[in-house]
Amino acid sequence: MRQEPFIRYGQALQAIALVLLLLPVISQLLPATGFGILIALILRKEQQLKRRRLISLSLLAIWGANQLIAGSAGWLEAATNLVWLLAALRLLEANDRKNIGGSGLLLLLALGLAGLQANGLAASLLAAVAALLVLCSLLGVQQGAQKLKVALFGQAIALLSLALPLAGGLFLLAPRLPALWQLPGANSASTGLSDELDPGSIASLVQNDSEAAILQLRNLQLPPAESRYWRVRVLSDFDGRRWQPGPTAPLEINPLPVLASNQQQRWIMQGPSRKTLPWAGFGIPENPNQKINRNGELLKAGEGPYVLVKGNRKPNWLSQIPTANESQWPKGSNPQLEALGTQWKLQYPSPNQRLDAAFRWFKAQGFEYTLRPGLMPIKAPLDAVLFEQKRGFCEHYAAAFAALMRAAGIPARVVIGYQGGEWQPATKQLQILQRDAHAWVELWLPAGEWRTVDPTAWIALNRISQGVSASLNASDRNQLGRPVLGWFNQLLAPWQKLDQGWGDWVMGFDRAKQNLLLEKWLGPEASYRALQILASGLCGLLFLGISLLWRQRWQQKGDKAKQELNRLLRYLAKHKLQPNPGETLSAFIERAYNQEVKLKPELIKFKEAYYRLRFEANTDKKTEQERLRSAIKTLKHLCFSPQGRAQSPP
Amino acid sequence: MQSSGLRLSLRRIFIVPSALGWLWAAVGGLLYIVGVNTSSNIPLILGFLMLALQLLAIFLTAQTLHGLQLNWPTQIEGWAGAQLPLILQLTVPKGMRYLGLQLGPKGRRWEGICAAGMQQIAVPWQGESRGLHKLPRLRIDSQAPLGLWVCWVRVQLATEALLYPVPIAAAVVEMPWPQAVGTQQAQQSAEPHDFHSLQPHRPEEGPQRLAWKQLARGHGELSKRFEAPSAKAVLLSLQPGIEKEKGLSAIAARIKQLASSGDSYGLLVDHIDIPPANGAEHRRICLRSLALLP
Repeated sequence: MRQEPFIRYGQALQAIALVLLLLPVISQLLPATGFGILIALILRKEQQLKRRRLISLSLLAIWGANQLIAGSAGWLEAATNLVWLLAALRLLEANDRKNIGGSGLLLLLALGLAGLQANGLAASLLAAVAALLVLCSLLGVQQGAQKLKVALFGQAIALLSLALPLAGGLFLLAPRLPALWQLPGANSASTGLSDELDPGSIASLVQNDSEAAILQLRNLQLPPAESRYWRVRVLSDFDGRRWQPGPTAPLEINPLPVLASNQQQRWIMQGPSRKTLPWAGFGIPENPNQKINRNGELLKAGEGPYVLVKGNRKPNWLSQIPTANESQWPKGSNPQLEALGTQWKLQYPSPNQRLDAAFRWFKAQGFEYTLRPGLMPIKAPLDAVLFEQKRGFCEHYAAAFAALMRAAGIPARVVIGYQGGEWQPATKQLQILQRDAHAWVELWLPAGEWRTVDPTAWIALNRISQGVSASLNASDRNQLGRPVLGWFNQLLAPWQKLDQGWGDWVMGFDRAKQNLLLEKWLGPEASYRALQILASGLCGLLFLGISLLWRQRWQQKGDKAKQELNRLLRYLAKHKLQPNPGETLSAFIERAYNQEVKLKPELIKFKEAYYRLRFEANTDKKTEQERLRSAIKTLKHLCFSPQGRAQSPP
Repeated sequence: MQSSGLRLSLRRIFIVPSALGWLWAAVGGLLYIVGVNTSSNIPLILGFLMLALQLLAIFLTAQTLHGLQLNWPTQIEGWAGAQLPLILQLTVPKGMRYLGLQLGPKGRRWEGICAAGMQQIAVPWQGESRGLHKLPRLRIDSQAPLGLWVCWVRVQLATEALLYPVPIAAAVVEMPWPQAVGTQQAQQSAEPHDFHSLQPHRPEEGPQRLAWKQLARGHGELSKRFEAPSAKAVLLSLQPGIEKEKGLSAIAARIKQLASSGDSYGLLVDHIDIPPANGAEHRRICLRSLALLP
């Protein structure tokens, strides 16, 4: 089939959409994905189907091989990258009308997945433009447009603006199901800490400067910067590469009745809802239902802020004897690291000496603290961090150090949470951002308790005392969301305000906020009522649409007189009487009553009423319409009754 | 030619999701699940937006066929076993759209862009046997504006197709005329047109007969005159002993051949007796009577 002129434009529109949707997530692109997309975009005009298939397959093969060899990406990252690549390859194939729809659809999926990685206002606007372009390409193809016209964009905008209210209503009112399953590493990418330490998961979080939590202190001193460790999750399962939460530990019953104390830490969570909450590791939850488990994780108990009251005893979790899980070491996973640990184990009898040795060793290595340590190999990744690349971020060092200590025979586990926070003198609260996410280590030392050790502090002390941006070099700082220049910051202030509003109100609109909002509007049983409103709204729209369509049908049928005339023609057709082309109504009616004599009086009555209704200015419309109707009624009776038929001449 | 027409109304329109529509819904659902699972709102909003667009597209798609005015001829004629174009007149009220038209489930599909205004569309149809056929129902479909829904109407056209026998060259009985009457001197037709002479060219003879070789040599415009060796006109008749349909096909093929060379021919088959003549109208009369032969 000949290629239609618009297909080329549609393809170009989709290519631009692809570029736009990838712009905000360009740092998330794996090199192989970037390469594949680039080649696909360059070669997209290739005509021969066979050659296009060949290009697609080879790019896919290169990508797959690269994943197998380098393969450091988490599976969500890999899946997202794959969808992006597939969208580009599909675009390569989209040069007839059937395929262009499919590639547009794939682009929308790619757009949604890119939204996981970047959801700032700028990224969202780019995504909206990309969606608009995809819509344009679909519209143009179906309309058989010959070339790109401004009107097409107008139509796409009109279509979007019609669909947006409905989508907005769904967004506000449609019930948010709880997560069906936990996507590993999924949370980290966009909105919060993940539940495992996959390489790169915190480094990407650091680019997110949305608020994670707020800590309000009542009658308590703000701890110094270097001891602001807010623990969230404890990871004790280690498979040689990744740290994950261990088997669920039995819950510890709060040991003491809560004393009414005016020394309180009040936490307000800002990010997405999660099962374990940040806390300092000491204090007793005011809410008796809120539990702390043996790992020292504070479990969530209901929505809203939570309060920790100062206790007068060491928390119980600190002295929980390590489980076998917490000293388990996967043999042979990282041989160099294992050799070093074993050497210390033999050399130093006391765990404290081994820790000292590790400290000296870490200081001597000249490790570099960077957001972009490069890809890590699948085999012995932590060996690569400590002995080859010697570059990394807190997660790399925490993971490698904990592994090293386990190899040296000390029970160790990784803790992830937040470190630091910015004190707001005006509101007297500590603001903790997602970029304050951090990972550190806990060791079981002979004192009989878990002790916090942060290898990152040995490498980049600034990270702990002054925050992330102070400890990074200039090019890394550019990766952070917030520009560093002061005056530039001021120029950007209104935009940042908008961006923050977007983040707070739209991107941060989660289940809890939805519940709050709905309860505010609709009172108790809000979600049930919201469903009712949604259902009735949808029914209303359906009804509106159908009634609009019906109206058109009526308009097409014409006015009352025309409808009555149509009925008359239908009845007469039963007697094989049909108007000839060019025959006037009176001529036709005359012919009709010459054939069917008994119809004559009613036919004449009908004709006169019809003409009066049509052509006379001063008639009583109602009377004439009534006449028409009665004539039709009689005619119907005469035409259809068997008696009437019998009388009619053959 | 007589024709009748119909204006498509919503009462006749059917609508179901297209393959892309099903995929679209699946991707929307997938985005919802991704959004819910990662508590990320962009996939969620996009999923809702896709759902909204899909719902909206139901009405818009139905709209694309609404108000189309269709006119068709009451009769078409042509050869059996060959694609026969049915010329339809389609009036689009406004806007361009991509439409597909198809006669019957087996008919070849016409697809193309229809602009606002009146246009003629040749929808191909093929009948296998001679005679008077009722055309199968015409299906008009559209996927505009987004390709998410297919809506279609089926229209029973009041068109009859008269199909001539499939022209398959074979032996026929050719009787010279007028000598043929009574003599029954049949002759197998092998090569009845022999070159006879050159005569001054008359414009109404057309370029086919022009003696190009002579013209090129500067002898002026001359016409080639052909003549059947034995007679100027022939009566065509069924070859005895041959199956009737095959015989009719052979006669049809012969008529096609004779008509294209401008010779005179008549028919003497069963009760049909058409004296020899030539011209398009004569050819049509002969072929029609062959088509309608019981």
